[in-house]
Amino acid sequence: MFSGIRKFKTMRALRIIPVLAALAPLRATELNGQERGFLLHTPQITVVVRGGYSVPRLGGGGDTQSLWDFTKEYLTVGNRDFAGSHIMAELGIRGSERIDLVFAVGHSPISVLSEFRGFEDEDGLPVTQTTDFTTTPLTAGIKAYLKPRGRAIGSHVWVPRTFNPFAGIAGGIVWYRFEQWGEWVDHETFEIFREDFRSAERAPTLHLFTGMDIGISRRLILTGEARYGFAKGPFEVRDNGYSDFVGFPKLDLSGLKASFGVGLRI
Amino acid sequence: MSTKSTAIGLLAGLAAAAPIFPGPATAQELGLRAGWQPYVGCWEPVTAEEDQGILCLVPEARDVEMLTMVDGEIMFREPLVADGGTHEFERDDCRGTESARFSEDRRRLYTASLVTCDGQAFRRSTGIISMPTPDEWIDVRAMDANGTSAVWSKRYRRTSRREPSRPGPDIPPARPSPFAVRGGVAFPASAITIDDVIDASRNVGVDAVAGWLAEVGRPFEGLSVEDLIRLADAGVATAVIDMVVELSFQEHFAVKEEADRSRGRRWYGRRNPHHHDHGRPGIAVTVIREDRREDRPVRPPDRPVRPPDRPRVTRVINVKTDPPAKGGRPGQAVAGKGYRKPESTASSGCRNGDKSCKGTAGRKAVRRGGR
Repeated sequence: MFSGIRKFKTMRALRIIPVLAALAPLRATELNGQERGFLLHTPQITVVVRGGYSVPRLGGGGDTQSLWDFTKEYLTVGNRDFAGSHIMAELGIRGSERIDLVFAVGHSPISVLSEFRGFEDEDGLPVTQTTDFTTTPLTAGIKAYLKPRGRAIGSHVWVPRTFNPFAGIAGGIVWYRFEQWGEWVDHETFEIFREDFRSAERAPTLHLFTGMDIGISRRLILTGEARYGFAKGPFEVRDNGYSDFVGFPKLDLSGLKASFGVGLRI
Repeated sequence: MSTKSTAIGLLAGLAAAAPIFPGPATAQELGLRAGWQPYVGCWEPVTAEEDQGILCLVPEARDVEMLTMVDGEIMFREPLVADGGTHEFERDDCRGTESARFSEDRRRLYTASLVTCDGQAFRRSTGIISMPTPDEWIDVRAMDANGTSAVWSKRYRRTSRREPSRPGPDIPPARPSPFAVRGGVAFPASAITIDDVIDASRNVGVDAVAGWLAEVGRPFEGLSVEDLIRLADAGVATAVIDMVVELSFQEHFAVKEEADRSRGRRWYGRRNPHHHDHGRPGIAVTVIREDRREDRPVRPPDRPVRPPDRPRVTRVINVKTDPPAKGGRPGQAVAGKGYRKPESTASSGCRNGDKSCKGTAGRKAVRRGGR
């Protein structure tokens, strides 16, 4: 019942990829008449848009129960439920033939419907709720290519390489929002109540990534990347001094993101 | 095969055989070194503003002699020997060595000289003479002196002017027999190829090749990545490759000419030129590279068509609640315990531990399985 809604969100997020792919041939055709297999300058900027899959780590808290373990204990959710779509935009500024300075922003929205594992209401109906978890990392880093990205011939001509693996490291800030809303069971009174628990905060993050660029024309590249982000975020404390989540260690925001997309050399 | 096709084939075959079996020519031309035939005759500079006379190339043994003629008088007489050997010369106050030889395909004449005038430092020059069209030939030379380099070019077109007197050796008719030039001109005047550029780069200086390409001014149709890689791998200089690219993409790059009106010259190059032309009329061009890429029309952005709104997915199960009242403890998730309701519930006023309170929904939970 719940998976349909999640798939719909995923498809909506990934819709940008075929749109970009459809635009790509237009650009290539436009250039065909002018530039034959090479560019008349060395590209200085690369813009990439990717879409893919995000798998959060949902790490435990050691001796203390983490919010992830807590959620999995009380609600009908598992690790795989928090995996979902991921979109990312990246701006690369050429530093050298093999090095780019990259600025990236990503967004991973997850929405999971669940019900209480151990309780139902007196009519036998489930006690249902929704958990939303979104992360938005903004990073700056270095992207290093294994081989030169192209060959300069003379002062004007640049011939791009077709296949080129890369790896990189980036640091920045990740904004997250963890929100649970719906019906709940009070652990003391067993009353069912409606509530919205949420925490929206930010945390420093470190990203390691590797992937491959495949040149499909002078300007267009297909690109695939695996990126792992490390981060742990504090819980939000409201103006009234309360936090909706009490006694938990910092929320583990780490996770793996695999994405594919298209890039444009400018 | 139709009669018409057969006739076309025969004509094509004759045309192809023409360079092998040149038409009737003078006895002197028959003894000429291969490559000179299309040059024999009289020529006038293309851009000279004042009458600087004409230049006649007349057969001299296997090579030619260049005669600069003004008002029918031979003002200068200069042998041009294309045997590849180095020949010493001394004219006026200048002396030095010069050499010339045709390319393998006879379409270009490579020249080189080392000259000093009035006891000044030697100037080294290399150059190319070629025929971009059957009725024109160009002489491009690049000179180095005291660390500076300059390129100048002269363009001549065939002239019908006849000199009133014909002193010295026989001067061939202003327009030679078409049979005489048929084999020699058609091929030299064909388009410059990548192989030509590579060959020229191996025989004369960088500036001379670049200046020659600029003076001819023809794009390399269908210039490909493979062509460019061949140039680079052959060691062709960056300036030459750039010129090939600039000429081939004239929608991006422009080559402007600046004429030296005072002397009717056009200069190539980036530095002040030093010219040594033995008094022959000439032209030189300054090449100014202009990047036109910013002038390209901007493609209007595509306006995506907004798709029709999809039906919204309506959530009927879970409803977000208002933020908790200020001052009251909100509902919380407590590690190791579970979820707990807010301290003050607006609808019921219940507090934690009040067993009679039915909660916001007024429902109680029971353990699954009836426990």
